[in-house]
Amino acid sequence: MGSLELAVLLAVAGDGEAYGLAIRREVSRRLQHDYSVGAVYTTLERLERKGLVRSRISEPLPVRGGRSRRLFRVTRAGERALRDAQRTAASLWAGRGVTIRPEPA
Amino acid sequence: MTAPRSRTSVASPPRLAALLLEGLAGEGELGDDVMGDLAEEFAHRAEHDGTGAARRWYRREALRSASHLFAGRVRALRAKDVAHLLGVALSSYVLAFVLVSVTGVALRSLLVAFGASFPGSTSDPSWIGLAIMALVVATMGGYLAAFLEARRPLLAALVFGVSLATLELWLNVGFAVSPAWYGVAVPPLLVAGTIAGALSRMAVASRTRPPAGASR
Repeated sequence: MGSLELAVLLAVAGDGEAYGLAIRREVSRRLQHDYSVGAVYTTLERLERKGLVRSRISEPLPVRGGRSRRLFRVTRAGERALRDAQRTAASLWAGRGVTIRPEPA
Repeated sequence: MTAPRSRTSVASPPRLAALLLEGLAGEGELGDDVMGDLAEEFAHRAEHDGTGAARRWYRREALRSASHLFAGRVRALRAKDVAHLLGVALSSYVLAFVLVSVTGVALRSLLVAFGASFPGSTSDPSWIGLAIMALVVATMGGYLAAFLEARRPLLAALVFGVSLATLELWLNVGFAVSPAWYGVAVPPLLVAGTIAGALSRMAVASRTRPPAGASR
């Protein structure tokens, strides 16, 4: 799983149920990079194809020009993937004693 | 699910950018999701930062998202989709060619009136005249491709445009009968023409679309 996929999956998991705009804001804040709407939705599509998230459609909203929101939720497989990613990162760092110097200003 | 589109809001997103995104995302869930999110964020920005800033943001966001949506659409294509799009491109070419041939006499008269001539009619062929003719075929073909493939209008038009440009390039490189500027300028002009034709078709379709949309 790539870093954007992981960040998107985490953003969905953090909110319980989230839609594209909220996910994009959260991912952009966490990764300190302004991701485009297209990038986030193609990632969400990929995660849904892998069975890591599922979605449902809300009622149409006037603020969206009469369109619905697609609300995403993490599946069991998605939760497992998050636990695996956390475990992998933790085991990679464990006992290394590596000190990373901060980036020069 | 789509409800009647709001027609009361004062600020509206830039039309061309919205058409470009709609054309790339296509009909269906992805298109509605992307357009909905952009409309929502646009309304928020228009209220807080002003309409001008919101429109600039929308244009920039449309351009940034375009490549992702296009790549996503291409990745999702299967063999039968490719065959279908090539069929649409061929039909568009035949239809555009017939239409241009039918109106050819009038166009020829118009061009001759402006001092242009055609290969075969004089010893000095007018490649500008031919380039204009090719652009007309490309624009018309782009319109027809978007008309025939309403679910993926821009993708269909691009397949048509790229096929036409490749054919033109092959003819120019293979037979080397045209001047160098023609061989360099016309293929990209053809692709631009097909995009313009497809966007025109989409603008017409969005104007005639009933306000109470179909369900997703």
